[in-house]
Amino acid sequence: MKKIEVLYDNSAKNDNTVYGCLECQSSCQSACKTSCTIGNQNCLKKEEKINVVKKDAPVL
Amino acid sequence: MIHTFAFQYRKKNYYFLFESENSSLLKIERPVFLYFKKKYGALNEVEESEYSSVTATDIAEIAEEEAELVRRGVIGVREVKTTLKRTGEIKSLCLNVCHACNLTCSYCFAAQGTYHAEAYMPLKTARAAVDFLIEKSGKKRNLEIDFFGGEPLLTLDAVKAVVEYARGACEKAGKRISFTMTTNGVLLDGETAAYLNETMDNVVISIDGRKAVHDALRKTVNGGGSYDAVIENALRFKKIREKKRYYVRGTFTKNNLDFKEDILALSDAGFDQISLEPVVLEEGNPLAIRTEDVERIIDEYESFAEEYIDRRRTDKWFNFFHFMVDLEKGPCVYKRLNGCGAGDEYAAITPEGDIYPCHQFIGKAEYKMGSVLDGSFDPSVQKIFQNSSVYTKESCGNCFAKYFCSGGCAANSVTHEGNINKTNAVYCALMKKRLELSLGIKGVEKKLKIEN
Ligand code: SF4
Ligand code: SF4
Repeated sequence: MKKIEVLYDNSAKNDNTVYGCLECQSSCQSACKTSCTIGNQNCLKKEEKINVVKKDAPVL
Repeated sequence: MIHTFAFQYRKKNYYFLFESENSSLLKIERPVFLYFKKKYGALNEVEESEYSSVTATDIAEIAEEEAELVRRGVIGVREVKTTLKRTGEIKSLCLNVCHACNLTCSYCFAAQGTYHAEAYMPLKTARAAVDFLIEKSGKKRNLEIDFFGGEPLLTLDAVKAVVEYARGACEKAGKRISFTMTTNGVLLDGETAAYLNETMDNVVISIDGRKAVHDALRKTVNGGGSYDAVIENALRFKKIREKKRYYVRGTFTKNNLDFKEDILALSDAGFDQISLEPVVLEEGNPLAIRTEDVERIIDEYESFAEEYIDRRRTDKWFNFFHFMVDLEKGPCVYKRLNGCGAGDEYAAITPEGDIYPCHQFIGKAEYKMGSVLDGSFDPSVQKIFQNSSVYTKESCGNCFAKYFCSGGCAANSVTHEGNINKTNAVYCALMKKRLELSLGIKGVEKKLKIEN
């Protein structure tokens, strides 16, 4: 019996993605503005499946 | 990191596993929940005794599924710390076109809109601010100006002049510019609404929810309530806005910890893009949210989450700002690590032309970055913000919410902890709960869709 059901599978994300242009909208999550928070933000390059950088990220 | 949590919807318990490193979301059975909670957290006494009755065969099966998911890279993903890009380019301005307001909201962080000295931004200063943005934007192509105040509609002519000037200057410089506005809606008449609709990429209108709640704290200068005027204007605006972006946003305080009613009141009034946020005030202020309120607020969020799913299944669908998460096309890791970008890629300009890291830092002398009028710019303040990120905040390292929260609001940290690298416990508790609920909502909505 399958005990785990994957609803959102992001295992394949970011393999060949260009990221970090930071051309996206700025955000403010404070109590006085509602332009944006990270949660509701998208990448401007909509076609890219960008989430959290994995494989090709420059590593510290 | 792996985070497990329970979510209740209409008397049914759902259990989820969230892999924060890649935002994968898994629905799990109760024994699996206990298995992972034991492995990555701690079980309480009741859970421990329940877990002891899970059979060895079941545990072996769970471990097998776990191993397969780790092998596929769905969970158990190693954190890769990346270098942060810090170019020093500023791409976004909060333009405080005036420090004056036609309301006297009790919880205003800006001393009833005046920031302690009423002022209007002269056109010369506004132009200098636009020039500063273009110059400081370096290689960035997409620039933004948010009209803020005080109440920006008190000086609509200045707003129009800035829009015209910025459009021309950006075109010459090969940049794209977009505008947003945050307004209390009092002066949002038909003509103004048409102008904002045409010019603004996003418009945020402040309404606190129920009329009595709104009127108690958002009073006009004459002491009367502002609800009736604002709601009519906001609804008219919403109507012409159609698919373009807008939000009604409210603030909840200690006085209305039953804020679910306020969110639903905004939905009942006809809005479908809604935000309601906890007030940010120093402890000691009678309206401030205190540590002892957290439990009550969490209950309220939980109860609201159920109602939210219900409404979204009917023609009363709406979007609640703090429950939005994108698990498929979120922003890149640089954005997630830096958050709002205040003091680094985002700055606020006062009517006097002074530059601050963001609107909430205005007036804090030690954070003044320079002036657009005399061309001064002190990079040492920018450095403070550039040196701060999720990586530099102690409590964030082991937090499942870090890629959504980005380490929280710097202004909030300074207000409550006196240090931009310290996090505030109340803020964190609410942030984590909201993220769990957002993920739970995402999971349940997807599940219900599959089942239907
Ligand atoms: S520091 Fe806080 S108030 Fe300032 S821009 Fe960032 S999130 Fe908004
Ligand atoms: S919730 Fe708190 S600990 Fe977690 S990332 Fe945000 S500020 Fe850091």
